[in-house]
Amino acid sequence: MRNIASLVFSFGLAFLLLAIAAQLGFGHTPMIVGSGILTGAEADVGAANIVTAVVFGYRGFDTLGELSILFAAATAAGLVLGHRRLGAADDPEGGLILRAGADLLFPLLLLVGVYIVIHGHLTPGGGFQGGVILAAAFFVSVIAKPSLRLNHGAISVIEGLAGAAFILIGIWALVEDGSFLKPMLDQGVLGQLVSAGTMPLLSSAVGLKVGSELAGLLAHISESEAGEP
Amino acid sequence: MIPFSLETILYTGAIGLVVIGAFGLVLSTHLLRMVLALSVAEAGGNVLIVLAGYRGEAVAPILGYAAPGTAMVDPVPQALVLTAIVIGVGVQALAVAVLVRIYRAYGTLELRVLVERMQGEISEAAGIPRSSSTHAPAGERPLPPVPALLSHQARGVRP
Amino acid sequence: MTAVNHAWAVNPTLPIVLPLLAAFLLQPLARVSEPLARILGPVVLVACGWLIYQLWLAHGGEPVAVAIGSFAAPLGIVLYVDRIALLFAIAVPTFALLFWPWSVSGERAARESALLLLLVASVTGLALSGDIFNIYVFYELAAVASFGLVTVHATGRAYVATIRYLLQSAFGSLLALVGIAILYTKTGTLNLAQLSQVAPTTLHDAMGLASFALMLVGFGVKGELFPVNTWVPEVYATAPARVSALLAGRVHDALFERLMP
Repeated sequence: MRNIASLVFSFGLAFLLLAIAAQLGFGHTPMIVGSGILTGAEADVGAANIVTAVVFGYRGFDTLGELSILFAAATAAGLVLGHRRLGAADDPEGGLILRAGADLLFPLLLLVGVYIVIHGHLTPGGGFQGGVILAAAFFVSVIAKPSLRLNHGAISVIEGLAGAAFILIGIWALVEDGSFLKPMLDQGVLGQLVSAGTMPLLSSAVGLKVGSELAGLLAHISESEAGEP
Repeated sequence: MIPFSLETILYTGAIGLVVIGAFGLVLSTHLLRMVLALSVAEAGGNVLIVLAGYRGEAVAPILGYAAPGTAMVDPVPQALVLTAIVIGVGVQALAVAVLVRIYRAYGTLELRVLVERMQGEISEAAGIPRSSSTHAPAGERPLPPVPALLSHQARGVRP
Repeated sequence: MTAVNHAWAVNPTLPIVLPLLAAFLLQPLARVSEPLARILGPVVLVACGWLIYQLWLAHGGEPVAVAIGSFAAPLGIVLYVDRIALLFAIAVPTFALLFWPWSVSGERAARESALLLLLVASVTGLALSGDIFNIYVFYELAAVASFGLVTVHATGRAYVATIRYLLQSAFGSLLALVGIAILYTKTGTLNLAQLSQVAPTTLHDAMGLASFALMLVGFGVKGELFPVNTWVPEVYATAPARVSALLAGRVHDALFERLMP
């Protein structure tokens, strides 16, 4: 009975979505907001990458909400998982190839992550993308060598201070210029590394926060034992 | 005859992902498979948003690489998808953490077994007997009522 | 002179942003000095209540649209502040203060307080926002914060209730996201005021109805509309009483308030 209802629901959803897609146009959207942003981005924000200009400039408030969601998920996971008991058995280590590969990849991934975070306003990239790569550097090490323990205290301090830095930059813009998260500082020359005002700062804060947060989250999950209650 | 245009392929792919995820979510009995199905469905939803920004013969919205004045794709859906992907990652990570604790508490992730154990715990905590189980009742099979005799009597009573 | 100097204080972004700032700083602060961390949450909530009261006094009755980041209306995000929104917004820190977990201590207290502050910030944002994707983001924040708060009792039943709530809520938000995608494809804007202007012309067909239906179901999961409210009894049975009160009272009503217009 429950299965029949579920099947009916799923087929109904499929039919509804296909009917919608058949009638929806493709490639002819009325870009009311899009065209305005495409023409105004250079003057308003000064970043070459318009998507990053939208993420940290025009829709910076959404980015703040998204940061908070990630923080809420990491905090809730920390609350759920608790601490590991002292003396609990460790997971088995990876083989030689895995461990050697992890040692080789760790500095390379850190470098690529920092590059993508810093160049977010020039080429595709930004705080979130680079932050995930930074976290991946720690993922690989933790998976290859489960006996490696990350310092959760340091991680929570870094993520808290990076998030606070994002908000404080916004509040500084509010006090100075009357509007939260308004682009401040000199916009510089388009296409240079040091340009687009406060946007690289926001991007770096986000990258640091996301990287440390995801690394801490995975370390928490990997350290918790699922075996004995 | 369905034309295999770019539009059809893209929309079918995106909606197919959402529907596969929905199927998996409602038809699964194992919690981890539900979380994976949810992740597939969210991927489909994100593709649908990105498709909303497509413009034929347009380039990526980055200044300095194309000649000024070429049409560019809508940048807003890409920013929306960035946000949606990160939100999805956060929710899935939290779901996996909760699954680890459930496994630690109950030893299984099968939904039917879990619900049964949970109902048992709630009934015990409330002090009422456990609700009816799906097993066969104890004792002999009771005799069915005799419908033929009853209808014959009713027919006999009617004028 | 003081009015000009402190004009920035009567900005409606502050009641949303201050609890977020406090939540981010709570755990590093708890490492330095625990009594300070325990008092930070209630202090911030009192400050937000006072700020919302100032907003009520400042704009004498007419609704005001505040563009965040000074990006004009359809391009950026706009907060729409009117009397009803302020009424909803003032109730949130008040209830959170009433239900504050004074008796918990230690590291779990810091995490639980941070989640409560995030919930307050998100519901205030839901009340004040004027952009549909912003509403979606704050709705997700409220959901994730409440997932964490439901597990505070740490019993097995609480975890199963949480995962059911999470799966239904996540599927609901996926449907809402698909609805927003259809909306953006048809109208090209995300601003609520502009949507209400262009809706009679562009959304009058089956597409508009479908997108509205998807969003209604999607947001309705959290707002406990029938028939997607099957997660409710288990969660209310296993969460601590104060969390149930908060969820039932504030979050549910905030969702309704956004759905109505």
